[in-house]
Amino acid sequence: MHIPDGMLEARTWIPAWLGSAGVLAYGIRRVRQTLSDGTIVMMAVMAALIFALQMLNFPVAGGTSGHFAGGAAAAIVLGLWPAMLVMAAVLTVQALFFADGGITALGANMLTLAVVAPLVGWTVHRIIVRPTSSRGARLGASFAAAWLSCVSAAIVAALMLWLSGRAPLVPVVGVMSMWHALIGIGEGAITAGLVGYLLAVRPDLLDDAGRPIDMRVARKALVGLGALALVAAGLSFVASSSPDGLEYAYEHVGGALADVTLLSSPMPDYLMPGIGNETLAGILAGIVGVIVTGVLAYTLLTALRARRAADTAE
Amino acid sequence: MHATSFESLTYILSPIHGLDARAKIAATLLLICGIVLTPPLRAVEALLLASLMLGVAAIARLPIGRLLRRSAAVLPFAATIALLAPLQHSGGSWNAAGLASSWAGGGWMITWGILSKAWFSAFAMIVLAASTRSADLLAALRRLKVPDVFVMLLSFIARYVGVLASQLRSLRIALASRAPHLSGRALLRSSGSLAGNLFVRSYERGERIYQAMLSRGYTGTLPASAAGRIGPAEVLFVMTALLTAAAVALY
Repeated sequence: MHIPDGMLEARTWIPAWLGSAGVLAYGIRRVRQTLSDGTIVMMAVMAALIFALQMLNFPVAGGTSGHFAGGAAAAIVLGLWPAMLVMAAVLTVQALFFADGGITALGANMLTLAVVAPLVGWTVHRIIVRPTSSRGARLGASFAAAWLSCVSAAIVAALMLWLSGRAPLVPVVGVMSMWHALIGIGEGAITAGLVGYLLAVRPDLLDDAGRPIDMRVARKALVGLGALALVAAGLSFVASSSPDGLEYAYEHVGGALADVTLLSSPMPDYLMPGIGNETLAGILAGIVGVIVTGVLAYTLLTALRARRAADTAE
Repeated sequence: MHATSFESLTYILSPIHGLDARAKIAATLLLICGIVLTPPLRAVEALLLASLMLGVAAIARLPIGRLLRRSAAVLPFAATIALLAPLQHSGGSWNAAGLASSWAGGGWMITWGILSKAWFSAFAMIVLAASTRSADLLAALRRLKVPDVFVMLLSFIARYVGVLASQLRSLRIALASRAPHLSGRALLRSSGSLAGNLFVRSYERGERIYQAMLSRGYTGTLPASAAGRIGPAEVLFVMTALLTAAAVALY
């Protein structure tokens, strides 16, 4: 189930829209440059396949069920940029033709399922899998990639809900990641099964999965992500420190209605005492997140480079 | 939930179905932006929106009961988040006094805001999806300058998801009839193989599709259909949506 309209505040869904539109526009350019007409047609059929596979559901806990999302599987099999476009197209069809997930929330849904999920899945898989990896290692990598992509997409969704003032930070991140840690098991098992089947039947269809990670591409992707995170942190700061134009106008024009507090309270969270601290906490969280991501990425890249150097030296 | 499409409804003949799809997309987007950007809807605004949307659905001769039920499907999911608001505003107090207190009232307003906006927006999207044929919707997106690689992905999904979904269904029936009591890990493992199997089948189908396209003269871009134009009816439709959105957002 995707985020419907009306749940996210403008300070969340507008940056999410811009961010995912930017990533996808770049992806479209890359795909057009690098893929042949035939590959693009295949990619389009695979998009229909991912949508169909999302009907695979499995029991999770307490009588509820989760369903396959496919972001990591698409990234492992089709490659990073095609997977992002495929997932974005699936979400767009679901919003436009099936009214599943909102249209203003489409950017947010794309950010989680079409950007973060394939990116995390692809990166994890690429880092673990070598050309010489055994079948077991590949299946393990697929499982880990799908599980992590599921959990990290859930965390990003939780952060957007928090940024919209829908829920307090720690509980919403906790609940969402715990829940998707369970769903991720199903996602991971199906992804590993899919990859295992392909390895046995048509190993030629797996994207260049064994190729070592291209450091320049990875670095570019990480720099892009970092910039995006910074912009998002900045925007959320601007958005939360001053009411946006519409709300400003509303407060002034609608001043006469102010006594009907229940009906007109446009921004109840701004009326709460201690908002300054909350804003500060939000920015701090954003900055800390960016720094932590940066440090992690740097460590990872250095380790990888060392490993690649060792590989070529052998 | 994915499986219910509105395809059968898009063949109804009505003034709304006859409008240019670009106008319908623009009007729906404007209206939803208006709904989403406003503080919790007041009774007058909700009434205005409800009468406008039901009016459009009636002119489009759509089964309103079915649309209402279908759009209400967003409510349970929206409610899980929407119901957090009163709790946040009652200071985490679960008891009735806390949740009924005046300061929790602001929280209940947020709940109403989320649920009503989600329902109204979903209804607007459903009217769009039910009154526009998918081919028209795709052509309109293309004329609205959505990149054609993306439109191609959308059109292939629209064309083949039903085919692949029914193939998936028959695979699952085959699995269930050979191994009816699978559970837990075994079921997950076979689901993975099933997904892989459908992947290979779809890939091979894709190869056949591409060859068929090539033999029909495909050169890298899908042929554009330039049917439909923006006339007075379209302008009126978009203006109505714009004014309603403005009224709802700014009032």
